Amino acid sequence: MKSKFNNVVLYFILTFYALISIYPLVWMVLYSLKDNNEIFVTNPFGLPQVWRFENYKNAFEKFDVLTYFKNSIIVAMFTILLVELFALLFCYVIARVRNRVTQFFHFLISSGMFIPIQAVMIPLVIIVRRFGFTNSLWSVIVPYTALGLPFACMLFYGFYLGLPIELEESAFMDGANLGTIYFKIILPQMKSPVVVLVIYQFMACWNEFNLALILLTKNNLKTLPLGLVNFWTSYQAVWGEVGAAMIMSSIPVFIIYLFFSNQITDAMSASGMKN
Amino acid sequence: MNSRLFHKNKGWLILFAAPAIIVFGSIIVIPLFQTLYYSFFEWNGIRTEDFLGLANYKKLFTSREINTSLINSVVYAIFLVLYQVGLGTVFAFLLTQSRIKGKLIFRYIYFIPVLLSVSVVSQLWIWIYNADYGFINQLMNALHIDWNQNWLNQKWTSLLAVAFVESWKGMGYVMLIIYAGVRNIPEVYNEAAVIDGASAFQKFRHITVPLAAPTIRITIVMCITNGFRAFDTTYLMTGGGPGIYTYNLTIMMYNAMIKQNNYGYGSAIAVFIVVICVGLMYLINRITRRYDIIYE
Amino acid sequence: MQKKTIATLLSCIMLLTALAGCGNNTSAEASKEETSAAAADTAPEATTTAAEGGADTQNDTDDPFGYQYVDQEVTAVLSIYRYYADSDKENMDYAIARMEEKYPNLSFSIEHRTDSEGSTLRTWSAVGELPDIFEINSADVYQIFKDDGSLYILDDTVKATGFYDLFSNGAAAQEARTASDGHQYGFGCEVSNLGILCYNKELFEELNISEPTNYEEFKECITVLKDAGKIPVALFGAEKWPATSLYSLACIAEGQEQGLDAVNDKDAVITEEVYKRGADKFVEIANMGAFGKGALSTNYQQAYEMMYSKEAGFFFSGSWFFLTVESDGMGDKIDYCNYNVFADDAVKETVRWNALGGAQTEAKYSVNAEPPCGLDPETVSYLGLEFEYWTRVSAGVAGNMTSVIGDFAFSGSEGYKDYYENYGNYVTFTNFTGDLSNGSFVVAADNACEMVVSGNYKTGEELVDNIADSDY
Repeated sequence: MKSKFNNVVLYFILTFYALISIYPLVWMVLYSLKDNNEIFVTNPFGLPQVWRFENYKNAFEKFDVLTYFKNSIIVAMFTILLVELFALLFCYVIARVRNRVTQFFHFLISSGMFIPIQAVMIPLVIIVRRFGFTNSLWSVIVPYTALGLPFACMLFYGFYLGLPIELEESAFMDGANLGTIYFKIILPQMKSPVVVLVIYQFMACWNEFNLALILLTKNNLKTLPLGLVNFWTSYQAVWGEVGAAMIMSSIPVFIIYLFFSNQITDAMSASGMKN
Repeated sequence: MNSRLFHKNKGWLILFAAPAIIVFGSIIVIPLFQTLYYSFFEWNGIRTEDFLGLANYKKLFTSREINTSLINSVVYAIFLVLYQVGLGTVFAFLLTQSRIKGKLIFRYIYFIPVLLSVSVVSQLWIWIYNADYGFINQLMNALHIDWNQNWLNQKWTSLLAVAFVESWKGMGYVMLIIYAGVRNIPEVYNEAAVIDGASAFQKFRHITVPLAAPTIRITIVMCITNGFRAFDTTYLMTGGGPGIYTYNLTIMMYNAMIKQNNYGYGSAIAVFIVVICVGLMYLINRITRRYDIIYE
Repeated sequence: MQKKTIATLLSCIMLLTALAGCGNNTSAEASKEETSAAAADTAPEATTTAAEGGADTQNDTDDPFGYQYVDQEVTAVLSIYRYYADSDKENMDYAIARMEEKYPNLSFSIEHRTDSEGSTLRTWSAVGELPDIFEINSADVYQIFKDDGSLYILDDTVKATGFYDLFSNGAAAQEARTASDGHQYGFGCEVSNLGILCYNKELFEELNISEPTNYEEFKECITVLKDAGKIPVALFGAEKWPATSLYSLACIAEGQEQGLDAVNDKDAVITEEVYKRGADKFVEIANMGAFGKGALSTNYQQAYEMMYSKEAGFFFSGSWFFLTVESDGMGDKIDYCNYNVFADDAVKETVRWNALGGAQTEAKYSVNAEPPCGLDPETVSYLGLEFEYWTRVSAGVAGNMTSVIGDFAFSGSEGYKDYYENYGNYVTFTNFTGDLSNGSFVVAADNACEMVVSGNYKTGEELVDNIADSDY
């Protein structure tokens, strides 16, 4: 039957792609259990010949995991909170009020997506210092928020456009002000993009390295990527331990993804939508 | 929004919009203008030296790497779009079809490359591409296909190889965004289509793609600009090499600033990148504006 | 539900690893490298056993500084920015231990240097966040800081302590560190690293070849290695400088004792004969397949692992590699080529003592003219000089090469010992190409040499023309 054949082909494609998507994770776990020699020369792709669990123990000791974890989590949490809040509110305005002023701001913030970070790094660092944020995690939280806004705005803008104007108009007829309208009616509809953004922003913060390196100099403020870099910029880097450290660092991102991705829900049902 | 709503709630609107504008303005816009300023000088990262006028830009446009870099960036961007948006849309669609079992698992697995660190992914693919004992060439040998390429050492194969790695790594995320967009399509449309006897492909073509178009447009812009800003993967896999075969604008900027200590020149390249990307975004938005379907 | 159990499982794993690490952490704390500001309050107990193996020898070496320059009660947290890994870490830990014992209210905050072009320093300077003592690894940054007045002038403190008299190569080092205006803005006295071409002795025995002393023999080794299915020269091309440095080595063999440095310093032009001849040789061995097809994406550890496991015959690096060899226990298997392998037989003796690498740079460690720790720069410089002294002592204590005058027994396996004995014979030195001051030239040379290694250039002329073409 044609549809059965189609099914088989589809499953084949899906599974094939799944295999090449998951192999790198498997490979990474495997190499975190090998020593340099096995990784590089004798056995790059296969199962470890000698299972070196001590890589994890060593990585944990050499690499102040708890402090870095804590800092990374704090930074990520606050950044996500701020980006979500600011971007949601801002995009609502520019999606609903479409005049010259708002379109200009929309254009301005969207162009923020294209700025290569190395270019603005030095002036940015100077400004952060002028605001007096140095020696605290705010010195990275605020820049990360600013950097996260463009993409968030682009995402939300598209979704806002998909919300019918009737939603506000009926509430407005009842005399509600914009604040109430927004938080009670509009916001619940934006669950999907909010969730997508949490995942994206968490990853962006978790892995950001360039700014953190420059802004966070005190050791008790450092985030995970800085710790990792210290780890492998050494002539005698033990790659297995680096791999172990990377796996430990990736777990939170994976957890966030698992928890949140199934929150991407179906669209509102059609019954409330009759024109 | 009608003007009554607008005028009555002006306070709220400003309150909503202000935080983003303030934060973004002070952290991004001001430094960007400073970078623009520095691009007209000879800047060593600490003190500005001579005023150069447009000399840095002239240097950029007459450099021997600019042509290669631009072409590479364009090719890279197109590859990203075709791969990520193309496959992303297809997979997003497939994974919303009820007849596919294990949708959840597939979605999780496809996202894994996104979660992995770029240095891990680059290292793995370097080995897969290795001309002597890498996986691809070994596979060709095993299948007796005489098509061994010196992947990372030749002109076009190196660029496409790197583009492939970045596309493959980020596809899961593009897929996720489009998936969210597809989920936003009210189920009524699809149900109606099924009643009318549409096939999966017809549903895809006439319902999914048009209604998810704003989302798809977002991802296209994202991919194109990522293509022009590409740095990490290229830097880790080839460093722009061999020679200038995988050079792109961002690598030129990095070299200028970090290796040649010429921050003014680097700033000029940065401004150029921003201008190109902003221009492209504007262009894409204008061209695809007529596809915006707003519920009326 | 399924996803929830997966997520909970992962959370448990994370928690378990955290807990598992906790138990070990407290004992590791005592011997922990990073003595940060937080640990400063408990300084005495935390650091007595800091240096591995150095603890029992703490009182073996006399202290030439005493308390004449700095008061014993000096109170500060000294921030230092240096390469803090591998053997440097052991040396620095030793120095920290001795100094913290000597000055009970002094503690250290060490920042590991992760970049190689000074960009971190540049950004710190832009925001006024330079630490008390920092390593400057870029000639450009050094010039800027010097002209800026950010560096404390060390003439007086160096003279008072007689720092350079404590070292056998002190005079030469001091001269290198004296700027054109007669002042010293940087200090440091290490045994400089030379470029060495190591090889695996066991593999060579198996294949019946011996250490090459001239170009013909080198080519023969390459051929034999290639026929045996090995990669002749393991090159970590992921970093750009090894290929370029090899090219510089070839030019040294052809008679230009300053290699590519001369072009960088504008004392020579790349189109001169000697560079063309060097290019021809470099291209020749590349075309013979000396580097393997994956050379440009091979990293440092992979390259030497390949030599260790006899997948490759030669490995080109700097002499710091000997320390790795020692700590990996591979000392009896690795030796280095005593002669310049690019030299023709007729001139091999003449060019033998023209080294690649080893040039003493003017910039090394500098003292911030306005130290953030609160002490005056003079005191900081005294502390910095003393700190440096102890790191060099530590190298000697560990049996490694050091130029500190003292009772240190060198202990190293045959290859390292060979190098140690020959070290004093070298008469000219160059920079490793990655350290050259003209960034544009380095980029142009790197790109051109990459084209050679990747097999895209077939003649030496293409190499030279490519570099000449760029406006370095």
